[in-house]
Amino acid sequence: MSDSNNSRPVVSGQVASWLGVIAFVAVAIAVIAYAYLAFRTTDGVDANRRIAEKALRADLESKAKGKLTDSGRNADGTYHIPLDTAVALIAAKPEILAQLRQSNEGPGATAPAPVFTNGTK
Amino acid sequence: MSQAYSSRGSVSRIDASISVPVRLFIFSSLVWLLVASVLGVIVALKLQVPSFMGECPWFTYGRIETLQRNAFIYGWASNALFALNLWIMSSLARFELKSSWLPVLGGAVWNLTLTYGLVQVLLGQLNGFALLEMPKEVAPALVVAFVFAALWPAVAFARRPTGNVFVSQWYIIGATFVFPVITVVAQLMLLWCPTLGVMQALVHSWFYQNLILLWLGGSALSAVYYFIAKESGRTISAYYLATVGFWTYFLFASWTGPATLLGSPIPVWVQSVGVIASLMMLVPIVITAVNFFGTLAPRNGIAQSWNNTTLRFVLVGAVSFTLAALLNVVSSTRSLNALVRFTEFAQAQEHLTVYSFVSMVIFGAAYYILPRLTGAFWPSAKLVYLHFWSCAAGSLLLVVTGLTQGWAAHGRTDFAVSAAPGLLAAVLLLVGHFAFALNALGMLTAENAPSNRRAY
Amino acid sequence: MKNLNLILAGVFFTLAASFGGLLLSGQVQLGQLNRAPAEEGGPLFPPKEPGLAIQGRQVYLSLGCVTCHTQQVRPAGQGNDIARGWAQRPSVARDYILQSQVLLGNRRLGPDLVNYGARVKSDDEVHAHLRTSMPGSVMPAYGFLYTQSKDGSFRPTEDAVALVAYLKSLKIDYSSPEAKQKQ
Ligand code: HEC
Repeated sequence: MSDSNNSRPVVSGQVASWLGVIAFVAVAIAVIAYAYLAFRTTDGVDANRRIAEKALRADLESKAKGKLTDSGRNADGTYHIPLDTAVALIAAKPEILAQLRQSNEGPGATAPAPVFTNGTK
Repeated sequence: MSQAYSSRGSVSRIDASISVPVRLFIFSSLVWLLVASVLGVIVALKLQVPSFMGECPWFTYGRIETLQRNAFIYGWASNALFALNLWIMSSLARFELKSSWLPVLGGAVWNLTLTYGLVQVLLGQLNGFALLEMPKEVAPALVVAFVFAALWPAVAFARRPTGNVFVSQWYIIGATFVFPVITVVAQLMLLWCPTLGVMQALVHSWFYQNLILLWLGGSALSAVYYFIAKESGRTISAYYLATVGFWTYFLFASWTGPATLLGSPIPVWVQSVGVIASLMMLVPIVITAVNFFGTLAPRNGIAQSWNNTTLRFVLVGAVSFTLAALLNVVSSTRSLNALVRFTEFAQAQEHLTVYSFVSMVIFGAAYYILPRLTGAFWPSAKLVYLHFWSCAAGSLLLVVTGLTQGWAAHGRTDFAVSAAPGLLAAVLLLVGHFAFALNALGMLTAENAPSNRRAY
Repeated sequence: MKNLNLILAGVFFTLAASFGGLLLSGQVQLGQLNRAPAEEGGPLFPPKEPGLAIQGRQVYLSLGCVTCHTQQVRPAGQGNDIARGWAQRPSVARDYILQSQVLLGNRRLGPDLVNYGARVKSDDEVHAHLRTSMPGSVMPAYGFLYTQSKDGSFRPTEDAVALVAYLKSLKIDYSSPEAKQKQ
């Protein structure tokens, strides 16, 4: 624990002490973290359930995201695209509107919802 | 307030060896303090005029409030405590730092990471856990930065030439050790491998109480002990109790988390453990009070402290610590907690701890440290005066209105808030902080030239 | 206590004790919770969250709603949450097991939302609340969640639709084994 070392060690005394403190902190963290992880994974059934649920959630989430952001075709062949895109398309090509009217004859014609669904149905 | 000027006029070798990192920490803390104070005014204004800056998602209440809290705790208080801990420990352990680039590197990484994290919050990447809101890649970088910036006091302690120990040193070592451990563990259990359901709330309460009481509170308590002994020139009364105070403080404080969750859907026995731990906190509260006020009270010591800039701030901090800690004990009784939990009462309690206690102690310490570090003098006594009164009034106003409003709210069912006092308080704090920052920046930029070294 | 390592070891012990006593034992008790039926053979609760609600939680998080709203109802003996009509029963640990981030909250500048989905009537009502500020309320208007079309009507953005789906999914109107005991 002395700096007055003639041979100038690679790591100075202060830095060595510093590394010692780091080691202590690292071990402390490792012990606690290990205890947690060990407790967390002991129960196989529970862990499996959680993994399955996590996968399901990720799946749902990506599907939801898809519904919100991707364009696509509905089962009945109508388009299912984000509102912004639809509005932009219509603004660029007024003929589309006419087409839509045709394909949507009847009382529902005023309601654009079935075409531009945004996933709330 | 003449004490602020009784600088020795020259810089000791110890201070010179840590000058660069300490200056960096103090400078960064000042910048964050100003940022947080401006944000504080905006937050208060938004409660008064909810539509203020409401057109843009960046400036919604939730994000600005989050930003303010994080900038205050991690930017201002933590940076300042890096400086304080290093300075106090070096002076107690007669430590001359050799590789000052390591803490400088740590400080730089800390502040860059924090900036990155807060920008992410502004852009909408935030978690729902108070003081862990920043995205999950931020905390590891903060911990690494902490290791570089803040472990040096422990090195100083390990390498001290004599075997002497002063109670401040324990508190610094304890506080320094706590921060990286609780941060990594909480991150692990909340964001990396999250626990199930309400366990998250329990983990968060554990993290939060440890962060506030042990990292911030422990560091600040060390400064209170140091400056009371140093500036009054007296020995700490009942010093033999200080060890007990230290150990009981660390032991019980880290169990108090569940006491902040009374009535939440966590097991009742866990809540009861938290309540018991809160009650046990009376032991360190009484011991620190005997240590602090027993030292200062006799022989007209309080009046003398009042005339000493550093001690005046530290005294306010010590009184606030005792009050805040007592309030925490009282409000962890179930019947009272049922009335005040979730209200502004709880906010006021927190303010009493992180502002009136921790920040006021930091201010006081800065008035002592900066002249010794820079060899310069505080540029303006008027600004010191303004700083003290503005901040004292602002925080008193915040605490009193918070406590009274929170208390008054328990019988009501509406959500009316009178935001005007909070706004006034935020402005007062901002003014005080500007005064402080002006003075301190003047000092940090002053050349350590002989012309500045007037000896009083 | 003069040796650094001894002090560090002591502090480690205090932290490890509270970690073990509170968090590990809490984990043992709560880490196993599963969905459960309210009655023998009935459907499992809490119900799975719809995908859109999961998206909506991200919006809720990102706008920091948790700074003003809690999502927990305390039992009748502990505060007047139930008397205020926020839910019929206190919330229990099982209610939260499917949520990726549990947003209990610690400050109530506005009402509790844990059972909001059960008391709100229509999507429009929620959209109206989010788009404009109620008189005298400190809750800001989230006008940027809506776009105005030429005829002056407002369209919710994707974020707003998801957020509303999330708010409507917040319900504890089912019963559960613990909830019955707690009542
Ligand atoms: C500044 C605090 C604040 C913020 C931030 C805030 N709210 Fe509110 N909220 C209130 C207050 C106060 C009320 C009660 C008065 C009212 O209805 O406006 C309220 C009411 C509500 C209600 C109606 C509850 C009921 O029982 O009728 C909902 C739903 C709601 N908020 C959702 C949100 C969402 C979603 C966000 C985030 C996008 C949010 N709030 C952000 C303060 C806030």
